[in-house]
Amino acid sequence: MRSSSSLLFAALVAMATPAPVHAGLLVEPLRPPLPGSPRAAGAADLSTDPARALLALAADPPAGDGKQKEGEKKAKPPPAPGDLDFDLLGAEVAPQGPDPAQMKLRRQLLTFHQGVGIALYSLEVTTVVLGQLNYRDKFSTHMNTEKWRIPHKSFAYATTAAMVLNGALALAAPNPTKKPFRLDRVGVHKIAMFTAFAGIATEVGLGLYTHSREGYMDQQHLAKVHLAIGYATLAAMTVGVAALVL
Amino acid sequence: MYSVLLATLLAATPASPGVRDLTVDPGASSIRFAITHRLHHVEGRSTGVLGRAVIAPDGKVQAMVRVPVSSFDSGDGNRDSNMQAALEVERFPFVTVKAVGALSRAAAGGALPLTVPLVLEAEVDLHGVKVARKVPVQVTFESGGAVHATGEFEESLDAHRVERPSLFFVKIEDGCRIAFDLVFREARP
Repeated sequence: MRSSSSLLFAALVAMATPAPVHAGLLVEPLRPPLPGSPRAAGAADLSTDPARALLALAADPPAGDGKQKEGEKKAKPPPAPGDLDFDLLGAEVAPQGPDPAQMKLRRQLLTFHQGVGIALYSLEVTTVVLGQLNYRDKFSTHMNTEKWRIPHKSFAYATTAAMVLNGALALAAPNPTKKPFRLDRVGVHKIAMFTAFAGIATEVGLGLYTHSREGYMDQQHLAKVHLAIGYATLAAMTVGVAALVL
Repeated sequence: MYSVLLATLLAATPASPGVRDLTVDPGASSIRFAITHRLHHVEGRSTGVLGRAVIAPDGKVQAMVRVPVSSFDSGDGNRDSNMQAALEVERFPFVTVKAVGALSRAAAGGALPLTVPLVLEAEVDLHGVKVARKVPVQVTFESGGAVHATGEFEESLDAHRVERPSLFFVKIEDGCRIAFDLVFREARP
């Protein structure tokens, strides 16, 4: 049985022992010795090595600690050459990790966001092409067949719905490892897509108003502005996609 | 109580003569990684390196380096978040590398700075999966006492059971190139 006073005495003896030449170096006995080193061969003399003596005391636990596992009582054999069973850095103090449920949800939502994003870009391109054809039919050729009006309108609403859905997915995705905003790829993507969202919202209102100005002199001018904003929206969306792809 | 007292006393006890105990200088060290996607090549780095190396008088080397996954910065906060999700940082917050090797006799003499090649038997613990490999290292013993270790190796993400993240439904490539530039200095009491 080892009392705490005997341990303390051994500790004081250890502290009183003169330091060897390399006083700046940490002693190693808490960890397995280097393979092949004299200490690995068990050559250390407990009477002259205070650290070893302390280790020996520690290996022989005081009474009342009998619940300690049997395996812990046995001294760990020195590692064989090449053995990597050592720990030079001590216990890991893990930083507070993010919530795994939130990380999983984020990944799911952003994967879905990518799929909807691809569909959104395709819809936007189609809507702009149909809008250009509609403008040409009505104001350039003056044939005014209106054959492109319903397809353009349908795709415009589908684009708007996809935009709202995708924006909602992005905003709903939690970011438990959030960092301060910076103008990186995703920063550019966010700015560009917010611009595209503003463009689409404007286009919906302006498109409806332009259609209501049938027969008025300003309709062509309004349609031209609507067309220009449509191209600008497509450009913003292209920047947003390119920021991630390129 | 016993363990605390013991640890305190051992920390105050000097080392065996001839053993060099070195710790990584985080301010002067970095670990970089590079991954490749069909659309782009991404590089990131961490300066949050914790490491220690012990060189025995006979040239035997033990080294251990630990890097928090959350400290890697690729210059894109969103991508870093995705990387942390893929590596399940909440379960496996560190990347740890342990290595052993033996310095040649050339390292014992000669004028400083002296650069010697060394091949370490290493174990890379990433995503909770340990993979053994050989890591070639260039070790430079500086005249000021510092030891500079550089090298690189490639890790398979699949080997570490990492579910590779994807962009536009295309996964990143399996190989992750890891380069290290570590400056070790004598540990202080």
